[in-house]
Amino acid sequence: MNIKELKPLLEEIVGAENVTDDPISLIVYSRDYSSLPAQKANIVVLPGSTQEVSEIMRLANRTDTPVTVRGGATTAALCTSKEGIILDLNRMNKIIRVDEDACLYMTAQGGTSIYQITKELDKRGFILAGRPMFGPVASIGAWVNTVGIGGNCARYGYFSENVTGIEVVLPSGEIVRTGVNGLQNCDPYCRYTHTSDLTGIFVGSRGSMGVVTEVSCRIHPKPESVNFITLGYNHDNFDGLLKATNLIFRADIPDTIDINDDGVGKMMGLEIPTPHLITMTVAGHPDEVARKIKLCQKIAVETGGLDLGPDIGALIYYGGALTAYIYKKDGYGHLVFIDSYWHSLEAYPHLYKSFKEILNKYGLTENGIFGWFMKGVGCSFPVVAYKEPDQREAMNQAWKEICDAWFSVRNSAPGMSVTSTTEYNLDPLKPTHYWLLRNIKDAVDPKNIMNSKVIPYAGRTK
Amino acid sequence: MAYTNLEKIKSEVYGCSICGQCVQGPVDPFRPNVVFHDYLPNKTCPMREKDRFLTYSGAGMNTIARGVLEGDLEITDELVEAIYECTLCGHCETSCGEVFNLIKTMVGKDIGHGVKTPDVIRAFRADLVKAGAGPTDKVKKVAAAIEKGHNRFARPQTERTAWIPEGMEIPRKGKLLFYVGCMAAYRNSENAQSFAKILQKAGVEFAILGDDEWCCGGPQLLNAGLIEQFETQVKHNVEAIRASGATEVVATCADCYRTLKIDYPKVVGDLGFTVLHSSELLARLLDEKKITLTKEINETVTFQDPCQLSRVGKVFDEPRKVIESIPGINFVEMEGNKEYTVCCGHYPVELPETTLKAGTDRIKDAQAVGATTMVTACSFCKWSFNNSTKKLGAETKVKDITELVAEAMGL
Repeated sequence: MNIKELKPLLEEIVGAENVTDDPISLIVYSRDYSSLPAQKANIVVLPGSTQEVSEIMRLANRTDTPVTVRGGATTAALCTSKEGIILDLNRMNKIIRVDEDACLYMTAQGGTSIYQITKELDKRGFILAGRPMFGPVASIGAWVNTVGIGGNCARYGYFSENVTGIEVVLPSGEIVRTGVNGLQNCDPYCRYTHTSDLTGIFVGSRGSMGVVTEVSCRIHPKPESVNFITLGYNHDNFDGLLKATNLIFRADIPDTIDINDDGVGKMMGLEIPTPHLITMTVAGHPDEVARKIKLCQKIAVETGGLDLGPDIGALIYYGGALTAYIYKKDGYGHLVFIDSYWHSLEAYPHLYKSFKEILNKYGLTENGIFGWFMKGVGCSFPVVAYKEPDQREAMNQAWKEICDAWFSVRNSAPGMSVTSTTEYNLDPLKPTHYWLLRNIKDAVDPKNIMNSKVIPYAGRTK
Repeated sequence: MAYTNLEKIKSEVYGCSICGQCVQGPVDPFRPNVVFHDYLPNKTCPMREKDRFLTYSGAGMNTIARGVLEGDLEITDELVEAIYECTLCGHCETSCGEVFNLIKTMVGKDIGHGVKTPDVIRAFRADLVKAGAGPTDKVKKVAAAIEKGHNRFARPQTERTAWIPEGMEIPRKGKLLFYVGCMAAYRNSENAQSFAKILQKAGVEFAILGDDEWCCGGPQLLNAGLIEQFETQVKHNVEAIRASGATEVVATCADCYRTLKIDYPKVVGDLGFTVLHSSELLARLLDEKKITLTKEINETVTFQDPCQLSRVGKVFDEPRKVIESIPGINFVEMEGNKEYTVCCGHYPVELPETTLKAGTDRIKDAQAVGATTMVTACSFCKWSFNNSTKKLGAETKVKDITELVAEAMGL
């Protein structure tokens, strides 16, 4: 079915005012928060309810129309498409419940921004498990789809580890609820029940398994106080940096721990005393915070690091995540996150060195690296400020080389915005892993209409 | 088509990373905001609230501009309508620049600014006008009225002074000039009357231009891309003000204030006079004890910061000081205030759906904090909120700050 035939059917579902195929909107929806080339889909639809999403998916499935779901669009490559429907969830932005008196969980529609949720929880003295520092307007449904990482993950783990259940519309249009909410008489207060963890199928699925229309998750009491500390290390002391990170985890110190370089500080025009930084937030009772800060200072001495005090950490922690803005000081520019390489702690020096070498080779010297860590596991987000459009080609070439270099490092798992989806999403998988994943995908999305790049060859008989 | 104005400002266009902060709030809700120490509002962009597509947002406008610069988009009626949908309230720019305020405060370095999307849109509109594609018909009508009769309502200039209270004589020359503006002269005459009475009671000598005052031209001409027509207004008004001998010009309308203070010098250079807003003058008169606010007003009052006064003029303490000096008033803040104020939706011309949606949303914000009276300091805000309260059937009173002060002075 072509788009001209599809459009009135979509309008019937969501209302004409919530469907557009005008070239202006298609251009706007062709881009996201990345340097990736624009991709223009055929139509954009704004559903207002789970029922509407279900009807859209039934129609798309029936007509073999690809569907790409868009939340805040802060994760590159997942929210644009060169064909089919863009399903923008921003109208589905209601907080449905905050259970602060009993089970300490909350539920929101999938398109609700993390900011909106965090603000509501803050008023009630609670926090979400994570803080969205990687992109300004992540929506909670998209966060499940991309696992969810950010500030506080050293304390609470990935955001998705705190999810107690989701409502998801499958590509076929079926509405499924996971966790105990999948039982006839239970609210979504707990993820695990007497059957398999169905939530896990959708966590990290990057829009390939269904449309997450509702998310329920654990909420946590807001800590009494928060402080910062940064430890500094020189180029010749990666061993000390890694040892310190390990000791900090063993002493159960941080809520957030990032391994950064001084790139972001340099972009701001700051003098940072050392090229490598361990930046932390420490939270809790003020006495406990003070005790932990002292422990960090002791670890710095033991590992040949420097105590750089609270200010650099506060600046990088609060200001660093928006490095996109920093580059504007030099006129037109952009930033790219080569995002989300899950890696072990010991892989970090290799990732760092190759990242630096390749970018410098292409003259892309305004760069830096963020890495959030959880109990030894890291997730690094290099950032590169480059000139649009002058340096776009160099940026994309460097990106490919970095992906190759990082892919070859042991215990470095490729993440979201890779340059060749087939190569990077298929090649690293062990055959049985792919076989199972492919079978699940084929079961829920036999025509592979949802983010078809994520699981290569799904929906094909060959 | 040549985009000469847009080309000049393309660093801003490409500076937009489509992060979405302009419409969805900041990256980190816990990041200390050095300007605004409370929660930021969820609703930021009037056109986005009316039309949920990303197209109608700061990010959308910049992406469209990039589309035409790169040859991916043709100029169509739909595109022109979209570009004229923006109210130019500037909330997107403030939200976008939030991190720079923080960095500046923390390290004392001014390393950048938010994307100047309103400037991008003004440039875009100027190019559309140059190419004969803009403005929209509605704007054209207002612009034609200004060209013909020097005011936006197509009313005779001789009626410009009809608002003057009976028996009050106001000279045409003086050190302090009250620039009345089209709205207060022809529509919200109670604003002008209240202000004139306050000044008279305070013993402050002031003058007006009378029928020699022309529309300031900011909202309807400059912002619509009608640059040449705007410059005609500027030159006339500046000449007339200079001829009046004024060293200080005061406006009750936030849009007139912004246009005279910020935009006029870009055309004529040094004005030779200073420009202030009525709320600034009222605060000064209060300090100088030239006015006393003695009559109790037992109302819960909130203040709607006009976009151009707070975001552009950085005037937000003075009106609060004045309001809070009135006995009996319980002053409350709405979510989204001062530089993070939420637009009334009425700018540069009435956009029926956008204006009504933004206006009613804001009245609901006032109701949410228990306000029985919403005070503002801009004729356009008042116009929008009066329509919105009617639509909602709300009992919320809408007043200009001059009316409230006049009431507290027993005038």
